[in-house]
Amino acid sequence: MELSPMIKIYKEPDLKNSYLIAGFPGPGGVGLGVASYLNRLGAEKFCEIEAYKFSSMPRSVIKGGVMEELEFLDNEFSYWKSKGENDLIIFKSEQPTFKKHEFINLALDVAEKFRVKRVYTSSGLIRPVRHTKEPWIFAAANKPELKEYLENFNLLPIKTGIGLTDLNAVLVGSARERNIEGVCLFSEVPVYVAPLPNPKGVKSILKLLSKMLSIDIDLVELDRFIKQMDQEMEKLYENLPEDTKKTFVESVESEAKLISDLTEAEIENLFMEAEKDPSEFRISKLGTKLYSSGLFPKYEDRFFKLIQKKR
Amino acid sequence: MKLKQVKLYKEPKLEEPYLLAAWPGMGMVALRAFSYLNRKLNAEEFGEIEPYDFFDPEVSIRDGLIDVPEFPENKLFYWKNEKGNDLMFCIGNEQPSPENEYKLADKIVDVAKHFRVKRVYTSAAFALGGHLLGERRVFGVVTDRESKQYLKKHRVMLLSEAMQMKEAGISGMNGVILGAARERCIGGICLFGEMPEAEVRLPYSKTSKVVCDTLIRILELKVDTQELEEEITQGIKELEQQSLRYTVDYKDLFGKGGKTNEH
Amino acid sequence: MNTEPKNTYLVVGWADPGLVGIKVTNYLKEKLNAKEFYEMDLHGLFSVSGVMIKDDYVSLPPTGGRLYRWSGKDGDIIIFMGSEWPNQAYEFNEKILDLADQLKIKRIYTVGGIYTRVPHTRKPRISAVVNKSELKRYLKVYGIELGMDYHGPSSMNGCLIGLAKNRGIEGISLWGEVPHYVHQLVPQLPNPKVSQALLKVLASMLNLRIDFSDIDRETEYGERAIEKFVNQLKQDPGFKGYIEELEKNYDEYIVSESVESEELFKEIENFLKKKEG
Repeated sequence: MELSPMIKIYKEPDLKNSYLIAGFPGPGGVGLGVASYLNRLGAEKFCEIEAYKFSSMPRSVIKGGVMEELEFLDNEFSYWKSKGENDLIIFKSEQPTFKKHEFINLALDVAEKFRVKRVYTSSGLIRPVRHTKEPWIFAAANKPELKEYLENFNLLPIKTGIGLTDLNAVLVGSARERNIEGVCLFSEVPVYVAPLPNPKGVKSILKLLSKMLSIDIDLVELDRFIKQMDQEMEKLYENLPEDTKKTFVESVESEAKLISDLTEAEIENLFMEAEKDPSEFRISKLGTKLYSSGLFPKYEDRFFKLIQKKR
Repeated sequence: MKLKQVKLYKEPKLEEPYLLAAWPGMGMVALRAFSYLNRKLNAEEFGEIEPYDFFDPEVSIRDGLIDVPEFPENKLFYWKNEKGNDLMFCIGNEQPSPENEYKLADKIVDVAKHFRVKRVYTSAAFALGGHLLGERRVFGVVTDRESKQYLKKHRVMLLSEAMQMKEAGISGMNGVILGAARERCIGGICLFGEMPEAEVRLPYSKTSKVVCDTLIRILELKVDTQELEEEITQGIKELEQQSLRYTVDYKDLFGKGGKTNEH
Repeated sequence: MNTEPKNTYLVVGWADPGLVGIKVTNYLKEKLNAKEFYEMDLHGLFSVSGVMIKDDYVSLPPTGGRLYRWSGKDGDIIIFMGSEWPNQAYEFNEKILDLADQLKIKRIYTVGGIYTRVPHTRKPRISAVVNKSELKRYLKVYGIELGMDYHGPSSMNGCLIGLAKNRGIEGISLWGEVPHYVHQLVPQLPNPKVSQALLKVLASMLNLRIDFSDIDRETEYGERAIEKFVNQLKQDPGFKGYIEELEKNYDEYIVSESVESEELFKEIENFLKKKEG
């Protein structure tokens, strides 16, 4: 198989029945957190995508006044030979700005070359829950045969969701075109801390993955980080207006059945992005999504607040 | 000549065609007017612009399964005109992000060049504060002198004649496509239709009809816009039923004067 | 573009902190009476989200940059004056480098401003980054700060010399340090004092004799505008104290580490929050 010259392979490990675990930026940094943590198993870097055309501005590495190199989009493939049936390839990447579709397909080219059977990704699902709650995990697959497999793990299924832009979900959708199985795991992320790292979510996904993949992962380091973030999140929670706190009611937090549609989570995503960057483009995109999903009346007030802020 | 990033199902032979290009925008003026024309003329779809370099992929989950990525569409249609210039339509259902607008526009100009398009037409809403009493006017801006003369010949007002202003702008693809066309020596016209600011974010506006009527008149087409009028009236009624509140709020937010040409 | 002069140097500047990049390239162009010979019109690499209308004519906003050329007896100087940054640094800079290859350019100088903790009341400091360690010795003569360590977001200038390295073209980035508390708050305010200092350094590196008298006048105006703005800020004693501390550090030659502009902004954000609250 002829690979693009943008794919730089440093070593060709002999892998059997490999699974790909991929992580892109997303709410709570869950996908990236999971991939980073898995690298600690002792995974070795063997490949990367030369990403000039996918990024906007590189990073400079300057030492003693000398420009050593430019770093474009940071991404790496590392591998880990397990003692069990399936070896692992771990792919961690920063967010491409341009030509995302092409970038995702380069990653899948690598997966195909190494005969990856299945890809697992993870991300955060923004919900009106408190940070003290043990995050639930929702899952969606890209093939009907996997639905049964997922049932073995007591995961909450996602039935529908329109227009998800999270690359962790997109990768699994694209994998379907290549006949590669895929599962996307979403861990709950509280709405008021969505842009922050969420190690609790990372931990819940890792615990699940260790069962799914039959591997041992030491999570002690993560506990330290969780304590640290809990303190920060507590401060943010305290600063929320009272009526916002009231929306995190028991029924929302305990009724998993209510969540089978990711569209609202995607809307939360779009709000988060528009609040960060209230450009006309983002506001129009959000408005269009609210109309087309029929959820405009529900988010009216918040949308108007955003427009007023922009003015 | 192979066009890159463009999928053509067929290569119609077109004579000095005009390109009518439209994307969603304020009050959905361009999209509604041009799509209506496209439909009534029964224009044939003959291709599309490949979206991968201009749009981000999105996936949907249906019945528990993540589907393959989906993208907004920019479709190409043509209509052979026995009595004048053939027409080509480029209808997009979503605007790209600002980083990709020019690239997409330039790609469409590749298609225009390939088919020897003579002129590009687009449309936009011209937002005015307050309420509009009486007829909504249509006026044009151009990329070149020939198009200016063409408008004069067809008794279409120019922006400077309609408004007391020398400077303005068109934001979004409905404007950028003209800029891209101009760069590569294809003339273009944008037909502005007046619109009260309160309608700017609504998907139905009477302005679509006045623009469509003007275009039909200039291009000497035999198309009736009665159905378009009904479509708009019905749409506005539904909006008002859904939430009387937000039409009022829009007026509160946008009611205070100023001529924004924001898309 | 067919001449083969002895040495052709390229000087590049963009709109950046204190508008130093634009000012220096503009001064140079004016002083040398360099002639425009090329326009880099790459709209696709910029965020173009609309068109302008004037007198009923539609036009694209100006993007890209212009190239000017001056021929001296020892060689030519090509000046690239950009404005707003493109959103694809790699693509645009590669186009500049393609031109550089065609024009047989051996060395690129970039000029620009950088936000630092330098106080506006002190003599401007010029620092440099080179893309080849041999160039460090060359710079010592000009009394330029070198020795910066940095790992963070690049700039059009940084990216250019980084990519130039791959093509074997020498690159020297000259940075004029601008007081961040002025120009982060009012990005439209230029800093002619810093621009002039940088131009002086550049002129001596390029062996050019330039009459700075009219630039001195502009510098005076510029300084007054900045002083006026700072006096408003100083009404907040916290801000006044912040500036005094920066002056103290400067005088005691405490070299400020390269800090990302976001962090610098946070330092003054607190004073602003107090004002708004």
